[in-house]
Amino acid sequence: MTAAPTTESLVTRCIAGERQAWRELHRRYYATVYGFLRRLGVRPPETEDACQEVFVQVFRYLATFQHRADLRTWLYKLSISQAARARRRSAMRQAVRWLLRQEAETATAPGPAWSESDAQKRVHRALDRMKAIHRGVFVLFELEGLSGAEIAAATGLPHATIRRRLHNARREFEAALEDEGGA
Amino acid sequence: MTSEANGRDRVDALPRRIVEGDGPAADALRRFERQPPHVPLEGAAWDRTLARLGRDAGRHPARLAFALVVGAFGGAALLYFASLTRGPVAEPTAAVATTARAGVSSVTVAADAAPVRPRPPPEATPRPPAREGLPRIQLARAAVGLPPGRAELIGEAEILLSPAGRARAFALPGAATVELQAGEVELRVEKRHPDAGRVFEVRSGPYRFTVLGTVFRVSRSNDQVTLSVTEGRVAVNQGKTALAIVAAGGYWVGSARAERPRASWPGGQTQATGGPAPASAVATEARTALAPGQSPTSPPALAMERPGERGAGSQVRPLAREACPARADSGDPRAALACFETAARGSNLGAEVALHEAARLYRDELADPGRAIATLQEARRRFPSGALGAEIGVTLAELLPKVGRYREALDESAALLGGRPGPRRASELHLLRGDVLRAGLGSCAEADAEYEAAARSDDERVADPASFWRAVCFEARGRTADARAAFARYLARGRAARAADARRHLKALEGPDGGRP
Repeated sequence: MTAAPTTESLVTRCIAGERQAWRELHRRYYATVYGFLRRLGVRPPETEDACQEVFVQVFRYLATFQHRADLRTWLYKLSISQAARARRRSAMRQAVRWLLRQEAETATAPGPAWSESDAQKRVHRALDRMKAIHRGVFVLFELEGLSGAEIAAATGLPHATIRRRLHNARREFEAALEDEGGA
Repeated sequence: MTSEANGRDRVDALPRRIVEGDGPAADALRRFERQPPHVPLEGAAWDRTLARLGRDAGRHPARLAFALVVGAFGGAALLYFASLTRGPVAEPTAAVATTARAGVSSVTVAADAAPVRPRPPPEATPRPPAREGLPRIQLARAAVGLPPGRAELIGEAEILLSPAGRARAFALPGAATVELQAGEVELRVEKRHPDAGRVFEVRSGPYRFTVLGTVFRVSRSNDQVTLSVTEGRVAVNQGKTALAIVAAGGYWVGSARAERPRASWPGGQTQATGGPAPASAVATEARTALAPGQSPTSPPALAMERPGERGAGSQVRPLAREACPARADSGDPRAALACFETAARGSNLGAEVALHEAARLYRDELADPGRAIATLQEARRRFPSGALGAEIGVTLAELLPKVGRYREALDESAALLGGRPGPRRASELHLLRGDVLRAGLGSCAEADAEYEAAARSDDERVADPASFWRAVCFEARGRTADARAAFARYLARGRAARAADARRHLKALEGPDGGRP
């Protein structure tokens, strides 16, 4: 059995232009990026677009990456900026709909409501009610399990700010969850 | 120690994560983490990313800036006109590009629009792994005819069109659509997220089949449209009326020309056949087919039928007898049988459905399990890779014990379990196997493992009897303490269907002789 290549060797092979390495990189991190974007509040189908944008950025700028940071942290950083863009686009679309007096887009058939557990829905709704700046730090620490230093690298925030935002985010999350009917 | 290191120490000394503590938030997050988010197929995303990189390659920043300026002016003008008219926006026709998987041939079909010239991907980016010879079709607003055989609708589905079939496909912002005009089409559709806002649908005749992530088959002959679902669920609509949601293993038949379909209800009862059913009645039935608490998947096993349990979780099978409705309802099952046998002479999905319906008639109306088994085995012989393969297997596994063929029933159910069925179907099969081993072969020891697996089901109709009979088996094997505990656990359930029996057993077990006769 062949062991999976390390991230460093994968990045090196990608930079060298090895085709299979690009594919492997996408396969390895697609679910991570997609899940993170969802937790940051990017809704399908925008999630797929944002996810694609993250990987397009990776493919464009990987040559300049040069292992200066952890690849995963870099992906989180790109995802955070894409999530912010997706939020802005969503707000813009809503404004345009309002201008045109149109109803919001809806699916032609209702999706199956039973595909997500109640707990998932409650957590998602609670996250949706959080401020974007709090949500980012909260998701990185509580859901993605990043350390303080990794969060600092991904967000570019000072350590004290991270601590403060995390503190506020937790209070906000617990209050939102309580409003949603508890756990 | 530097100040930077001190800072890192401080920030790394963040409080414990919520999930490591207690309380409602910790509980909610733990459950949240146990259920990972649905992630679409990575391969399709990779294809789209490659296509995007290919489009972006060679774009000059100045050209991009120019395009942005033009786009902004164009968008503003469009908004202005749209706000003036506020009418429905006409669907523009656009170019459709059909590319071969190998990337060698590239055909562009244009309709009232300038052809799109696909750009080659950048040098550094690889192409996806190719499946030789499989055509790949990029859907667009303008409909494109689908070739017979297998093809990939990029990012949407894999499709198999029968040799004489005719179908076309197109994509609008809210939906990707396949229109089946003749023949049969089988689709494997990427699972859709409930929030996706984009659906995949198949239209045939007056019906619209909205896909909720599944493998299914639609067949159209001159007079009927047949839907068969192998995995997942498919919603059936006619116009704006929801007719049914068909779950895995279920099928649905409607008239290809009917303005309003006639329906046979779940559980095998058929609507009066004097004319078409009122649409409202059909819609109501479709909704009740997935009433709260009812499984969206297949029903519990029907084997070893227990009084009062039949029909409790009937499969969604509306319109299944539409082809022979009058006879099926007239109280003359022999005439209905003749009708189904006539319909079974063909070689399409309708024939397979008719054979299955005939077997159900033998079983339910004529109380002839032997003939039902023979009919199902004929269906299996004639349609070895038919759409109803799993359904036929389950019905056989249910029927075989009725004629004393216990070992064959165990083999049949083992084969079904080997095919990795869904959790609900698996628990039904475990319950069936437990019943066969206990009641048929008298082996409570072997039945225990089956009942234990079935008792873990979240479907009460399976878990309840499995828990009860497991306790009975403990008692029969002389494991008094285990039996007492099992009956007590059973009675502690919210709604124990055999509570009176369980109390009687428990009382006997707690008696002076410990339940021994």
